Amino acid sequence: MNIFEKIFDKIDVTQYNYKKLIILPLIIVLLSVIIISTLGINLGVDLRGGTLATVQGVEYSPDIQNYLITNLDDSTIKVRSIYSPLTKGFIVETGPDIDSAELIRLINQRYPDIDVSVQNIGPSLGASFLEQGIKAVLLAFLFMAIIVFIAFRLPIPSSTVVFAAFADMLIALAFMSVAGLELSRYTIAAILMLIGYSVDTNILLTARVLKEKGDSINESIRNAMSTGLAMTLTTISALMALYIFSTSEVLDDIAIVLIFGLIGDLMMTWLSNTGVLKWYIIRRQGAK
Amino acid sequence: MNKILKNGRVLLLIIIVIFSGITIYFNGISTGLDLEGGTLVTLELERAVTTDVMQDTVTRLELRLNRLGISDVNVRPWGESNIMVEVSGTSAEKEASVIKILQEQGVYEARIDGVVAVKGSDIVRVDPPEVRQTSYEGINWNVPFTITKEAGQTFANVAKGKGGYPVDMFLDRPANSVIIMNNNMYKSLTGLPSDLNISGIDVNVSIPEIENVFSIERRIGDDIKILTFTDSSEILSLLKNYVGDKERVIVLATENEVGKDIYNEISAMGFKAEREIMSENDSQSAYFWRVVGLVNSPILSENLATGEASATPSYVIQGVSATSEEAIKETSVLKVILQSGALPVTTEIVGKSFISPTLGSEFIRQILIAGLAALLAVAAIVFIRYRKIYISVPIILISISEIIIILGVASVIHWTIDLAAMAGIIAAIGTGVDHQIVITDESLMEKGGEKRKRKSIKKRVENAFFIIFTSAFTTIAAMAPLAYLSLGMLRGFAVTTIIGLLIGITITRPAYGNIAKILLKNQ
Repeated sequence: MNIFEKIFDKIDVTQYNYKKLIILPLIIVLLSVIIISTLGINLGVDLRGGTLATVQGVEYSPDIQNYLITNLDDSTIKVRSIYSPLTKGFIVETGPDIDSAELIRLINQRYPDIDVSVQNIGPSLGASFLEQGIKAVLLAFLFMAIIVFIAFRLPIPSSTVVFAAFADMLIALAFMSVAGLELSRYTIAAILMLIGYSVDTNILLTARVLKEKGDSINESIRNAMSTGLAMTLTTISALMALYIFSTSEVLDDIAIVLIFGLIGDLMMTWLSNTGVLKWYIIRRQGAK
Repeated sequence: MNKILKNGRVLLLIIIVIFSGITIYFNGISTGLDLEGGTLVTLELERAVTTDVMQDTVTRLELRLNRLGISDVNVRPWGESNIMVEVSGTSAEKEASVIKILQEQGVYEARIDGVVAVKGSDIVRVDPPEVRQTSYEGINWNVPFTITKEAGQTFANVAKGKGGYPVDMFLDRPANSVIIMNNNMYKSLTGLPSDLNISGIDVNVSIPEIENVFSIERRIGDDIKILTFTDSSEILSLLKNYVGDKERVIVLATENEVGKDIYNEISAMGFKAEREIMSENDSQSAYFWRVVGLVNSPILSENLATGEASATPSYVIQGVSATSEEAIKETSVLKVILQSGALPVTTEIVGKSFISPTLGSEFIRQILIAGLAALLAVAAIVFIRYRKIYISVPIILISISEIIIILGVASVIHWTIDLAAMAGIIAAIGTGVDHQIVITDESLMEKGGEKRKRKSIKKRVENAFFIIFTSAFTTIAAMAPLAYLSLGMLRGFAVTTIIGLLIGITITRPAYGNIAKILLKNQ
């Protein structure tokens, strides 16, 4: 027997009571809400204003942070090392009032003849990015919901798909709060992408269960799950490769947020949505 | 195999991939600033402005940035109250000059024989240019302007007896500086030819013919000193021997000619060192005049050279152009110059990034490796799941062809591929693989379906495509607001994802559907 099938038999959700299936994801969503409201969301440099300097090809030493804090007189300066098998280096993050030329000069004093890339975003530009970002997410969500409702034309299954996407976003945001990841323009993009990916598997499940009239519900769910898990696994593995090899903030942020959002989506789709759909079908059959 | 290649959809896919490959090869792909390296400055205007004012602001910024001699300056409006300035492939030194130009007011100065005749602050008014059609010579035009009464007197004094001399108009002249250049270059310098003239209003213009013997050193003014070298090793001793109070040193040489060590040494001597590099389409003279900020040299007419100040200190710059478009262009540039390049609204730098070219190419290398690793990871999972090489290979091949087509489309529509767009390509490919798995599974179910009540093949494929289309459209819907709102770079991400998804549902997915049908039927 195929490894895939072996693992699959272990996690076959159809053997559990569907009402129980709904509870775990709901707890996680609730937990996410609590985490987000207590820890809050960290805004990235590009949304709150500040400077980001990337230095590659040098060895990172932890004392560089203190060196920059003392010389630039900004206690909010953070320095983190770049993790990648392809290169080494570090990233400096400062508040909005730091002169980037001065920052480059100080870094070059430590590491002569090294190219420093600097991105500086003023607070007002950051605020407008944030505003547009929120608008983009809200609109994206609205449009997605409209299309899902048009496609299925059934309120309960459609709402489940939309709710799952919403829950995925919450889970991803909660993960970011816990892991100290910042909400940036790029993580906003990741959240939008998450809407797309999460809807993919949910549509698959819903379509299979609703349209597969010949099969038993359990059979349809098993089939859908086997396809859906393969989809999510390929996506997660591709994102892992991206996260490991690239050192670009843009790609790394997008990859890591998506990976955790998709793990959340696994639960939302195959536990809670499956439970709700099963309950819905059983009730519908009972009514007939 | 033959059967697959003969399938219409597959054939179409192959043709489009080949076509994309050819387009990419000949047209190239324009890469974004974050992959190429460069400077990106975001300006915020003090208020939202109309399209006309926005265009005017953009033109003025472009004109002033031109003096940097960078061919790749891109100034574009972004919304109603922002302007983005992109300068690709810049060094850190050049970035400082870009920022300086964007932050500081332009300075206009007109000199006759090296003596200041008119300063930007003297100019009271620049009137709308007049453009007149004349039958023979082409389009006559003139740009009238008025200066203050006191300035009119100064002008008259400076211009006295200088009829036929060029009136050198400088914008952002590097005052009080030393210019260092190669001796050969110095010898080859010539004046900027000009067929414009400057005269009083409402008088007959007479332009004395004077042989162009004006020394370049005189024309640039005595606060700019030219030092020439035959070998770069002389530079430091030349500077040490030169006694003056100049603070800036401008080196007109590439790094090959005057190395970084010498350059750093100049800074260490206490000068503000700058390096100006000749751009591709510069002649040596044009290069030099660009560095000193000379933008035009109309010839002084005889009637202004009398030494008598006129009652109304108004003047016209006259010229002839071949077409009216050229006339409009030339007059508007002159107008901007006379106004010191001043902008119609105040602007403020709200964001700037500088990406070093090495970091950009490093990103490209990493993405190529990451992309390859991602494809391998996907192939591995697909193989583990289906256990059949003939299913894994087409899925990977289709993904690769999708990348090629997306890049081909980008090449045709001149869409810039930056990091965000690359993320978009990855998103599209990820969804693409997902959809191919859906198709494969639907087709496989059809095959082993005797034991259960099965639907027709047609119904199955319809099912798969219902899932694919619904999910593609939800993703497109989710990306659409981002493409419209454009948070700077994120627009590239959204648009690229949408392009990728559209290619997917129209070209690659149907092709894969047919491949899967044929492959799985043979089993």
